[in-house]
Amino acid sequence: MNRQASVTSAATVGLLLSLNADAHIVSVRLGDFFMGALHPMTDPIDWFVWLGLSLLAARSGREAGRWLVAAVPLALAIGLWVVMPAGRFPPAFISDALPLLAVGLLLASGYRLRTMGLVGVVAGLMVLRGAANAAGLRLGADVPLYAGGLMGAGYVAMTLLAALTARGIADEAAVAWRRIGVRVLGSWLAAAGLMLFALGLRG
Amino acid sequence: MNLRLGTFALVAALLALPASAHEQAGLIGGLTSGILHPLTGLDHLVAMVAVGLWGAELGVPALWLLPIIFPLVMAFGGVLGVMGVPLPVPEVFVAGSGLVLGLAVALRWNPGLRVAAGLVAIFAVFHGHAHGMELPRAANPLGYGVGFVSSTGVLHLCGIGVGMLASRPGWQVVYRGSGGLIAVIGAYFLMRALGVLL
Repeated sequence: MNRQASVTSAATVGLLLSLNADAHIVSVRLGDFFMGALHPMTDPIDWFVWLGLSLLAARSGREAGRWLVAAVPLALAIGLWVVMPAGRFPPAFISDALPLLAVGLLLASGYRLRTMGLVGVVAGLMVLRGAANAAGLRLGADVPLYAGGLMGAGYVAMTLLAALTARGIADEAAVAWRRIGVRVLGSWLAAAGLMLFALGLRG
Repeated sequence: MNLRLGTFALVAALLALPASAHEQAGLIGGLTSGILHPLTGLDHLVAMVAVGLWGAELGVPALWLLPIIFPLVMAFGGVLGVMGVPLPVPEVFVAGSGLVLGLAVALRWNPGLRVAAGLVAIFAVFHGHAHGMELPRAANPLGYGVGFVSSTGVLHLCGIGVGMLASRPGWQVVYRGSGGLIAVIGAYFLMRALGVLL
């Protein structure tokens, strides 16, 4: 069989076996999962808070870091489920500014909370972010799928960023300057959070 | 050649979107506005650079502590400004900060970490207050906050960069000269704030 005949046969078989196109992920019931996973990427507050949290996780040592990697996605899901029945979301200047301010202050001060204290504070802040992300749910959306996507994004982002940061600040040769950089960045995040809080209050 | 140009022009015209010339729009607009705000006021700009210069002269830990304190306390001052809380003679303090910090750099004054940090913190409150009062209402809050703080931080870094070169031969003149220039600019703005100059 020559090459042209092979190609023609393959094309014919392909045409005969073709099904209706199903390109829209919403129609295969996984759209809400991706919506949940992508929603934090559409909000710069989440970028900064998650970046700050991963720096915090990396700086706090292995044990605390492992707890945070687990606590962040769970707290996001809890926040989502807490506000869903009531349908009342926290004011933006609380759910946006408070996590940014708190994470920034923890980084800037260099203060080391005990592992469970740190996990408690971070979980509380992530409950707020989970509640804020609930605003992205459309009417009739599959809440467990959306929550799964949100948790997955939180877990992946935290793990990757924390691992990268831990590697960056664990290099003993440059550790002093990099840790100072983390504190400076923390002060910038806290300052931005404080400004955000004031601007939110002003309305 | 003309055919290519014509095709290019036609494609560009077909792909054109509505112009969005107002810089205050959205996150990017807020970011741009926040970044430019500390850069457009000379009295603010010189004081931020002076903090970095002075930090470099005082050495570790002031080197990194002052640039951490300044944005945080400045943001607190910004909150006061946004909320409309009045402070006494803010323009005098803002202008005076340039003069005092410039002189501290030019004279290589080393009062110790606590005094330096306290002085910088007081000035930072007034700088933040002035920025908070002048803040555009339409600015995106997050973009404005991030731009404003990072721009301030970069100005500190510029000062630190020049300050760290001061130990090299010949750079001491540049370092102290920068302090002197900042003090002169601060004095000019102080006289304007006091009504001595128009």
